[in-house]
Amino acid sequence: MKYARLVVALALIGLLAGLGPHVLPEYWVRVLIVLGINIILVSSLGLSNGFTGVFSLGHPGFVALGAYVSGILTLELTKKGAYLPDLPGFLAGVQLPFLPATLIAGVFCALVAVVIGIPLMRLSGNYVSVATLGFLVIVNVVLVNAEQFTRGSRTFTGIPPYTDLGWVAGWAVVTLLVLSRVAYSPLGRAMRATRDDPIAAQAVGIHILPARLMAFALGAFFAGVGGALYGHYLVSFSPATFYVAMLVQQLTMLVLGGQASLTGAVVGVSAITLLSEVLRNLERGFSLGSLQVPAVFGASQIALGFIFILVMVYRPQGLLGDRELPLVTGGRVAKGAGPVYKDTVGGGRT
Amino acid sequence: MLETHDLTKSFKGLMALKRHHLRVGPGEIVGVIGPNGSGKSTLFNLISGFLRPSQGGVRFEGHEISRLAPATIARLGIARTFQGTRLFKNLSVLENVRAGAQLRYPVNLVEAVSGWGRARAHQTASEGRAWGLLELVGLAEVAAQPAGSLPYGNQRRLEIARALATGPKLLMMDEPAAGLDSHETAALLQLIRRIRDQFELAVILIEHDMDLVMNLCERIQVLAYGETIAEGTPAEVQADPRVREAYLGGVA
Ligand SMILES: Nc1ncnc2c1ncn2[C@@H]1O[C@H](COP(=O)(O)OP(=O)(O)O)[C@@H](O)[C@H]1O
Ligand SMILES: [Mg+2]
Repeated sequence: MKYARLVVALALIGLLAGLGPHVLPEYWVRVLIVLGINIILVSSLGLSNGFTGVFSLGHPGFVALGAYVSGILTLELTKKGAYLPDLPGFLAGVQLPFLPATLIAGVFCALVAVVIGIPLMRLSGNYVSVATLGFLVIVNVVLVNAEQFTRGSRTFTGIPPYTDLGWVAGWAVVTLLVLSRVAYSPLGRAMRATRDDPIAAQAVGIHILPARLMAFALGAFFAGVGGALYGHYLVSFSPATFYVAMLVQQLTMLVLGGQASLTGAVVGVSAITLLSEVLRNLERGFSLGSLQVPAVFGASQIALGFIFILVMVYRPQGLLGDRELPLVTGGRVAKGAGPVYKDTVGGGRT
Repeated sequence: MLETHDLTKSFKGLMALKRHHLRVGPGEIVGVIGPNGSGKSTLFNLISGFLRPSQGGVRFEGHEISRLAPATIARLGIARTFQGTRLFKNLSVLENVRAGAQLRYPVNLVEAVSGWGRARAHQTASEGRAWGLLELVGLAEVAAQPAGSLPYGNQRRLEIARALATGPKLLMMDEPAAGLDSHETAALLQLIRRIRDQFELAVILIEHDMDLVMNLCERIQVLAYGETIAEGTPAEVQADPRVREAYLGGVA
């Protein structure tokens, strides 16, 4: 009984993943895969940005690391010889299945997050945003220069196309399950408490650094997993794939839905994904009666930027504020604990 | 139980607290009074670890605590409220108190995700404790409201409940009656007495409301410009000429 809703949700997702590819048009399967990956990426970003108030701009850096790590670990040995002839011995000889590669990608990102988080999570407000943006830039530069591992700025290709709707749905469920259980446990309460008032949080025995670090590292883990899924979906990518455009998209999805809400992350991702698809079709140009609308390239990018600005100006708490479906909080938060979450990006909390 | 020894803090040459000595025993209610800027809040910040002493230190139950982190000190059993209030304003009233209770009911990542181990028992226990404290301070009816939406007087009571939830042996309150009307202040006095008796706490109270201080405290220390100018029972302190001078003949 207690798990009834979970079982129903899993059954629906299983059905979707199992039947989807057979009954849905190819186009919609691809849209759903990207949607699922973005749910993983954006909800994991929300844990640090919305729940602890550490507004990180470094998320695509972890996505990139996840994609490259899993890509290197799963590449066929013959392709490895051809594309990455200079790989060090232990990597040149391994070819892992999808699941272990994905998990290693996630753990690798979590470890990187802990290492950079120990100094960075002590910073406050805007400083932490700037510093994490610095991390994103560093990752990009390192990937471009580590040609031995990544082919540099050239396309990294030949990655096995493992990602399908089943994997994505499965990982999305795991991500939301883990994040919701953490966010609405004492650990998540510590995160939200440090966000609202770090001084008062310390006075009731909450250590700031571990609370923030856990959110950052857990977010990085799922960013790495999502990056691995995305890599095996794209099959070829370059460092530029995981840069500012991806950051703007993730942030727009997050703030539109409501940073401090996992439900909000799903809503934001869904809304922007649909909108992007519509805009992408419009970009190619269309005719409206006798009116010919010419192709406008980059229209969807511009629209995302506009949405981001409009949300920040008119509804900084996002569509949902910090409201959640009861399914997400598992009744662990008293009802009516209202949507008052109001704050601007990186808004100078110490 | 608590002892400050030679406790001194200077801010870039400004001596906020000078060679301060105070002993507080179990169950005692001690008042600290003095004009604005006399170093009272600085004293609390030193004891609770938010400031490092320039000289001297603080002992709690025989251990030197003045180099410990604020959260560590809270875990040892010293709770405090703040001048003004500092609530987790986006969290519900109940969640605020539970945030205070959770240091006594810790849960690790694996337990939180799986629901195994201490997760269930600790959730029940901390929730029960939080409800009990909300009943005590009279906020059970508004438990689901966001803390930031409460009127000022109730925010004060909530902050006290949150501090109590940490299971302290010593509770320090920084001007709890500021901004309250006489009705609310009288209720606060009753509440503090009840808390002390029920939880067997020591209390240190910073307060400007002389009625409250004189009625509640067994012992009072008076600060002025960071120096301790008097210490004694309410009657002794009221009779002290230096205290009258410090307050410009005002209250005493
Ligand atoms: N963090 C700080 N930095 C610099 N000066 C401070 C700081 N905190 C307090 N002070 C100064 O120390 C003196 C004592 O302040 P405080 O302890 O807040 O007084 P009280 O609580 O008795 O009104 C004041 O002159 C105040 O300006
Ligand atoms: Mg003060």
